[in-house]
Amino acid sequence: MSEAEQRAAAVKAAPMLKIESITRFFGGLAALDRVSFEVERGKIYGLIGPNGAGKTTLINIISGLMLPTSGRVLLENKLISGLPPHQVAAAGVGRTFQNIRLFTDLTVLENVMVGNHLRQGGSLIGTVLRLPRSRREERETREEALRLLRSLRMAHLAGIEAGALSYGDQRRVEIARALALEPRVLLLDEPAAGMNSAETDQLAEFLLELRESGLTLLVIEHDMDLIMRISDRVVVLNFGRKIAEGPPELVRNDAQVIEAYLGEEV
Amino acid sequence: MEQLPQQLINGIWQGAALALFAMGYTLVFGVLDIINLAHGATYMWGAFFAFVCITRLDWPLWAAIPAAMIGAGLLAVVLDRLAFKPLRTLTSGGLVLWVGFIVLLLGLIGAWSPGLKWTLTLSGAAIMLGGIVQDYAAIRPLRVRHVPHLAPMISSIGASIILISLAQGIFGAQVSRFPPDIFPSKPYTLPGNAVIAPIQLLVLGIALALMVVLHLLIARTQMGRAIRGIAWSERTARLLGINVDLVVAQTFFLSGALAGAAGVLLGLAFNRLDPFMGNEVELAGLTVIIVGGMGSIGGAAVAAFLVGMLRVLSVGYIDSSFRDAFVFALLILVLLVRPSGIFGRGSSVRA
Repeated sequence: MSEAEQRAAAVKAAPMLKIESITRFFGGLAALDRVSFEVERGKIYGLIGPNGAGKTTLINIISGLMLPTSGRVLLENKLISGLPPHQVAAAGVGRTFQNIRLFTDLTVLENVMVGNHLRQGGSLIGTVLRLPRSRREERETREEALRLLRSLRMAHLAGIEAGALSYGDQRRVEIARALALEPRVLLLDEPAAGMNSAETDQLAEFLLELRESGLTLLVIEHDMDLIMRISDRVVVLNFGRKIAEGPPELVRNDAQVIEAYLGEEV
Repeated sequence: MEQLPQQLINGIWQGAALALFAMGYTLVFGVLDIINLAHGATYMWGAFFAFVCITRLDWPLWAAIPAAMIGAGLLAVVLDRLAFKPLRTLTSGGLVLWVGFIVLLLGLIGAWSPGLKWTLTLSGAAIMLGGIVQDYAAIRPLRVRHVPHLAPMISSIGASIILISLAQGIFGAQVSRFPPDIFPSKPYTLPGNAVIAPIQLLVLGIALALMVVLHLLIARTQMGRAIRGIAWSERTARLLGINVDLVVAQTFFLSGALAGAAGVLLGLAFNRLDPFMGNEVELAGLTVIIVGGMGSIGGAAVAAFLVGMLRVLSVGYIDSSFRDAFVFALLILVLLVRPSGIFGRGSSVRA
């Protein structure tokens, strides 16, 4: 094997995402306490836990919005903790938010095109110097965004202002925008929040399709049915600590997990 | 009333130049939520950049206008780094930049021997350049600050005073003029006994062209979408891989270039430049962006024509001393009837 092949093989064998003993203090309070786990490539990982368990804090740290007090995050063996958010995104981490953050006065298509920013570039000098070419690039970006929307069966929404969509559709557009980055890992923070059961079913199908296409997902969710249905593996946090990890059916029957969710008496 | 066609024409070309100024003003507000009160000083420097190119370097007008725009754009970028960026995030590069700036100022204003003066000025500029590069390269700032809204505004007042004093030191407080033969002066006669000078046509033409270019940049390019994205939510934009720092610098460049263009064009049209020329347009521009709706570029363009027309008509028909009174009456009226401005859509939707 040549050196390059060896390196490629090593990357392939590496976990997609490796959380190494992440600790984060807010004042004297440990929001995360030495949390470690690995996310395998091409799998859906569920991240669950009661409110205040530190789930969103962990996602904020992975995506670079927040620095860990100690510990490291590796994406395919490459250190990403400490990078600013836009470089983490460039390295291949996409995410959505608990409360939807679409650009509400831009159309769905424009939202997805913004997500394409990394590959399209868009510096002032570049835009001005390449004016003759920029029209073509603009058309290509537009077509690429449309192609993505079509593959997600959302092409009919392209021209609508994002703020005017139903809640479920806004969620899907937010995911589509994150996908425009062509991430290797997608972090979803409560994607089913506020959805009715039909919308949640659709979402489950959608996430399973994304996994089929080879994407790795880390999903925070309170809807246990959804998490148990789609996850290959579930990580449980409580008071900033990892209290369980394993396949859904095992985690579901774990005594500590039941206690964390239901209280001691039950 | 026989003057009316002439007044309308004056209102239109002056309104167009005012629109250039105001669009840059509102662009920065839309993206960063700050009122850059040094915008008028950037406008004045734009005019003087062209003045230097033409009178000292003997450049033709067609080269001096873009040069002045680039100069004013770069000035706005440096201004952001000096006066605004340290209030958002402080980096070690930002501190180096400030040290360089102080050395540069000492060189420019001190009564040194010519040799020392140039050494100080050039080394100050070199240190500033290093500071800016270091500032951009910084991955993590020394500290991220959450300063009150008023802080950047006051900071910009300081920057404005420094820029005006510098111009006064270099060019003197008296009025400077472009050479009279720089542009043909024979006016065209229009129907209704109105006349328009070639320079006024040039102002109108360039201003309209730049307005179209800005519109296309914002509406139809990836950079424009990044600007609109940041205006909506900086955090979200970062997570989509947008280098916010870079886009902010580009926004300042655009803003400064537009102010510079307005400065050269109005400087040429009235053929008078002085270090204080920015103060008056600053107030008119502020009115324009409030009337148009803070952060709305289209609104600023429309409101600029409105304010330009109002100014010209109040001078023509009432009394020139009431000119600003009418402009501010319009401002108060709009604030009473529609506080978010004609094209404003509330505070969360911008650019």
